[in-house]
Amino acid sequence: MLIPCPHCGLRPSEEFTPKGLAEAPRPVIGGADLPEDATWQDYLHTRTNRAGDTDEYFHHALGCRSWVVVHRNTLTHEVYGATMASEFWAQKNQQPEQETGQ
Amino acid sequence: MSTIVLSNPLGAHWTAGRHGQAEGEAGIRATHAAGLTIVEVAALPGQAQPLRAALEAGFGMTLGDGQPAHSAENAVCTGPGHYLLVGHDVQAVKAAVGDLAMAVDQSSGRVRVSIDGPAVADLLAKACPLDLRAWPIGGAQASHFLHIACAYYRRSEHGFDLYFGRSFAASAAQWLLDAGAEFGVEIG
Repeated sequence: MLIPCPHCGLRPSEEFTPKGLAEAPRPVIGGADLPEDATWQDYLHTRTNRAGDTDEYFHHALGCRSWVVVHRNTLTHEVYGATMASEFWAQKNQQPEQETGQ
Repeated sequence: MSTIVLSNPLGAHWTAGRHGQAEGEAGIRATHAAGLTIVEVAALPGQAQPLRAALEAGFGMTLGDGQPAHSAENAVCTGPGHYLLVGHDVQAVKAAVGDLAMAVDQSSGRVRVSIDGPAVADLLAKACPLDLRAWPIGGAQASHFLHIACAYYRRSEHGFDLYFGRSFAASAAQWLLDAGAEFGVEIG
């Protein structure tokens, strides 16, 4: 599979680390906003495993180190394109997921 | 400031002279730049364009629109707003980038090996996934050499600079000697 990194251009998927769907924001951790167990249960374990078009995070680990969102079809393996993760969420007019509590 | 120079990051087999196939012109000529000053700069969010402007003004380089293809011999683009600044004084770099970017001295963290020669494309074909035809001279690529993260800079048709993490350099050098043996490797 070839992934068109927005910064580097067309690259083999071996350079990327898949990081899961870009549609389920990570629940906020810490402070007074501890998520409910059921929320974590859903986030960690309840996956749709969609057959078809998906938006997924990939980290260009052996490249420019950018987080990109790859738009692809899990049935046909066709890759439609890729967007920088920050731009993906800006386009969706949403905040990116919070990386806290590491 | 004191300077520590560790002897040979490329391992015991990396010695000056001819290696592998001994007849005729060497297919690969390789050099290691010891004691090279390398500073990694990474723009803070939203500061990539001002960083390029500051580097261009401070060092007289041309970095274009920030794409890897628009790199300079001494400013290798490794990511969005990320550069390896090579051969520049560390304090001068830090002064030039100010608070636009993080600047970290990687002189002892990165190793540069330069390769040239008629068999370079055949050697890279074994280790590097990139299409040389789509890679302009003067352009950089952040990719891998075997399994090792590597920043490349293309100097000329057959001339490339390879930047490895220091602790991976001996492994990369050993492989380079083995894979280049069929072409003959001349280490200068």
